[in-house]
Amino acid sequence: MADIDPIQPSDAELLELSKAGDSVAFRHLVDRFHGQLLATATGMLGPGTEAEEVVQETLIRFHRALQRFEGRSTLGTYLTRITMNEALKVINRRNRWYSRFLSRDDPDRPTVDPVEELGMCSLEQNERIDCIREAVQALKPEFRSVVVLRFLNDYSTEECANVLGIPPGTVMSRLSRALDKLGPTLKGLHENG
Amino acid sequence: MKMDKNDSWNLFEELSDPGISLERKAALEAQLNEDPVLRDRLSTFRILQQWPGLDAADRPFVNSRAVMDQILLEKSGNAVDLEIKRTFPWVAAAALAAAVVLAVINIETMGNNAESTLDAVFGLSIPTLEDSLLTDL
Repeated sequence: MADIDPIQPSDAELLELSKAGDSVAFRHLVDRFHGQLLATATGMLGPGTEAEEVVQETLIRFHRALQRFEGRSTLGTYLTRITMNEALKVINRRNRWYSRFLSRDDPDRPTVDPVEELGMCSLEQNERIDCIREAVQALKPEFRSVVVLRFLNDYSTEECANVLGIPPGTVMSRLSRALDKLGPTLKGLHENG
Repeated sequence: MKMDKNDSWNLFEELSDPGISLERKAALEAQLNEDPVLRDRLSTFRILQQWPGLDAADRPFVNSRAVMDQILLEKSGNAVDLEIKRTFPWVAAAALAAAVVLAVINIETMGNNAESTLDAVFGLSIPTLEDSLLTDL
C-alpha cells in the first residue's frame, strides 16, 4: 500500500480510508469538497437552505455509494455531477410548482426569458456578486449549468461536457448563447468595473 | 468571415489562458473587437471570470459539521438495522426452541390429564367438576 502523507493526503488515499470505515478520513473529504459543492449549488439555486440541502443530499448519497465508487472520473467531477443533478431536480420541482399553481394567463407567470426582464446592473463592488448571481439565476437551467461549471467551478469545456453528459460542442454553443443573454444585464458591471 | 459559436468560444478560452503571449493576446482581442457581437460577449466573459473571486469573498462560513452529523446519524441507524438483521434469526430460533421444549414438557407432564394432544401442548388439563362450577359462577 502507498504511503499516506499525513499532512495533505490525496483524495484517493482519503477515499481508500473512508471505504475501510474511517470516518475521520471521510470528514476530511467532506471538508475538502463542501465549499466547492456549495458554490455550485448556490450558483444553480441561489444562496439559501435549498443549496445547503442539495450539498447535504449529495454527500449523504456519496457516503451511501462509497463502496461502489470506481474512480472512473475524479472525485471532484463525480461529486459535482451529483450536485448538479440534485440542483436540476430542485429546479424541475420549482418549475412544476409554477406550472401547477400559476395558470397560463396569470400575470405572475414569466412570459419571456427572465434574464431579459432584468435591468442593467450598475452597482458598487460589494453588490456585484449579487448582480451576477441574480443574472445567472435568471438563465434557463441548461444555460445556467454550463455557466456555473465553466466560470464558478473553473471547469474546462471537456469537464463541463463530462459532468453534464453532453457533447463539448453543445457546451460551447450554450456558453456562447448564455453570454449573449447575460450581456445586457452585466454590461453595467463592465462599465463600472 | 463570421465565426461560429464554437470557434469564437475557443478564442475566449485561448485568451483566458494565463500562459498566452502578449502579442497573441493583442491579436486575439483585436480580432474579437472587430465583431460587435463578439466584443459584447468578450466583456461578459471577463465579468464572469471575476465571479469565483467575488463568490469566495462573499461565501458564508462553511459548516460541514451538520453534514457529518447527519451522515453519522444515518450510519448509526444503519448499524442498529444491521445488528437487528444479524441477531434476529438467532433470537427467533431460540424462541422457537424454547416453545418446543415447553410443549414437550407440557405433553410429558399433562399426558393423560389433557383432552387432546393440542391441549397437552398448551398445558390445558381436562376440566374437573370444580372448574366447571367455577366457570359457571
